Amino acid sequence: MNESLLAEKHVMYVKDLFRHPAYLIHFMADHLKMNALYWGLGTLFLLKHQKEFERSEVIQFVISCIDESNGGFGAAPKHDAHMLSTLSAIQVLKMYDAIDELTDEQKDRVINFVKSMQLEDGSFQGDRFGEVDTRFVYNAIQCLSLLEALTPEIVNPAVEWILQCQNFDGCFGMVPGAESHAAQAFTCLGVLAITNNLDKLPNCELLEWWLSDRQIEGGGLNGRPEKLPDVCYSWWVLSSLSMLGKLHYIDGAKLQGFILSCQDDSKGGISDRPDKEVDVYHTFFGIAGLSLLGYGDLTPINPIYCLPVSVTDTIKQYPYRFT
Amino acid sequence: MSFVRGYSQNSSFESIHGREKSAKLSESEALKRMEMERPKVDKYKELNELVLNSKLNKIYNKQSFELITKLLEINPELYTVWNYRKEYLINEIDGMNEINKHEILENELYFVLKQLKKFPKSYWIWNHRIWCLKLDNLSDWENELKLIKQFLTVDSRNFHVWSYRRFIIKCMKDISKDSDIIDFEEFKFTTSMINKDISNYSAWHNRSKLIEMLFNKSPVLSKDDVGDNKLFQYLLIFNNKDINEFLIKELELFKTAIYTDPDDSSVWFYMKWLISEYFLNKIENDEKIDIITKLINDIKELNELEIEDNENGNDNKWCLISIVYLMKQLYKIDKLLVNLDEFNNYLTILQKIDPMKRNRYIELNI
Repeated sequence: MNESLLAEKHVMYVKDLFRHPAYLIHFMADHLKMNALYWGLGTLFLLKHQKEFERSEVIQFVISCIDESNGGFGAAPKHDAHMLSTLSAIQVLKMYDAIDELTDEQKDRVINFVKSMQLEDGSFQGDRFGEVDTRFVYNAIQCLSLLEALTPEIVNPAVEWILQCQNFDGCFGMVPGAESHAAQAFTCLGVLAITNNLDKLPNCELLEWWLSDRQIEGGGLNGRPEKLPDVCYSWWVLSSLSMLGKLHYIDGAKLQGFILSCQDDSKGGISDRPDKEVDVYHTFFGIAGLSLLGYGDLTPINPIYCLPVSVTDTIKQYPYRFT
Repeated sequence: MSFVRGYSQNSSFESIHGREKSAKLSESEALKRMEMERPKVDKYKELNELVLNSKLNKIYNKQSFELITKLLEINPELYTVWNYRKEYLINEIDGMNEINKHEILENELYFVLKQLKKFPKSYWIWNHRIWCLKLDNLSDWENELKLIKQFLTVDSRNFHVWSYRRFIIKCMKDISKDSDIIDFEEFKFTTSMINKDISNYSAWHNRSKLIEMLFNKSPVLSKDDVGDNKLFQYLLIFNNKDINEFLIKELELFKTAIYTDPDDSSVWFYMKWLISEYFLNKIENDEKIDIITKLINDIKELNELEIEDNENGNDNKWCLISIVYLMKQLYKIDKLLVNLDEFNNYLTILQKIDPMKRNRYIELNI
């Protein structure tokens, strides 16, 4: 069992993912490229290896994913714009301090794309085909925050809708009426935190206890009651507790041990559970969790934006003061 | 896209849950695998390019539809290709009468079902099914409910399936004059799911939503209509909006559940809701006190049995967490009803038997 972070191995693992595709599985993963780039680059930033990729090449790739029909970003060139890939694209640009590499027209178009996804009830759809989910509200609100384009007309109905997603146990579902899920705690609290509305949240204590009860025997966290632990909840639960100021409600050392035990000491990378296959999603969220726990000398991460604190320091705080 | 020289030797971007670990390949093994997969890769790349290009060129003919089908059968996660399929279908059903439209969308549901059976947790596929049903005015809702039952038999906690069920129920309610009967049928359904497995948190969740709706509006039915006597009692409670009776009855179910498995967290969370301000604000003080005091005694009794059963003689964590919660609720009604030494003693024990969450017990104030 690994007791320390295999940082160099994880850097090698991430680099391997962004070489030329070789196997069928590489070619079949186009629909995840933009998200994977955010997870991969995020991992490198947290491990202080952000120079591994050529900045200009990454920016060029991101811009090549703009969906010319509406101005949003797709997961890969020729793929349709979606809220999930649009947020990842803007986050990648923000990490490189490269939002201004977009032309004014490109910026206006992506802002309009995001705004156009808001529905009458305040929620957001993922694309024009109507799927609604608190994830997409979070995508939209963070995107507009990074682009400094939040307005009360967008924010107020979105916040009202988010509050309707809270359940009997204090946590949140994907839509009003849907079952609580720890990842939805992150997206909903994130929307409230970005828009400076956390004080509107009722039943905080109920939610804090429900979230801390995600830590089960062995120290790992699960996403819903009576489910198995999974490394990605190290982020969704931990960031939520952190936004509520209750990071100390779970045992950080035990969780750290669980995350480290999910490392692959030969290939690098982190898996969902010990001795399973690794992927870049669990690698990023595992290391992000360790960063929030203050492990080693990892780059500190912001629990609301899931970006390095050095990156989020420059974000304009909402509500904006006009001078 | 590549930001690093050379070829990838290991996994892809795919997010993997629960798959067995693969060994790291040496450079020569990786080259061998690459060579072996080349014919498949070439075919896939060709098909992928063909489909994406014909999407960009807005080609909506039978041949492109077949290629879309072929590609999605290989890779159902390609959301852009599902979108292309939607564009094709919108084009095809444009101007058609309801019956012809229904026929085409029914075929589409058949294709979607085949994919769902292989990938029951894919957001895109469930999403496509919902999209189809929204377009069709002749949908067979009962058939969808049957299908949901099958999926829940395979995985009773799949949240895609539960979400889909709520969507179907909403569609049925939208076109029904008796939407409250549908709500009550759903209440019956959650009761049967809970009776099958008291640990099904998804069912407890749905129950909480249905109870809110039924207290708002419930159908008037005869005992014969309902069939089951227990359920008929519930119906009368909803009809009379009798919160006190409801809590007494629901806490009987709770008691059965905690005696079945005291370590299962689901039902303990549910109890917290039953004894929350949401219900308590609607009943008299003496009713509140009766209910909570009896409940505390029931849980203490169970905890005694647990102490006897446990090898190390420890208290049951969930029993104590719940007693502490109930004492807090009691304290809000009348401070004199709570023995603070006893309360603090429970918190001290909890710090010992649930050390990972030590800090929240230290911080808890009455």
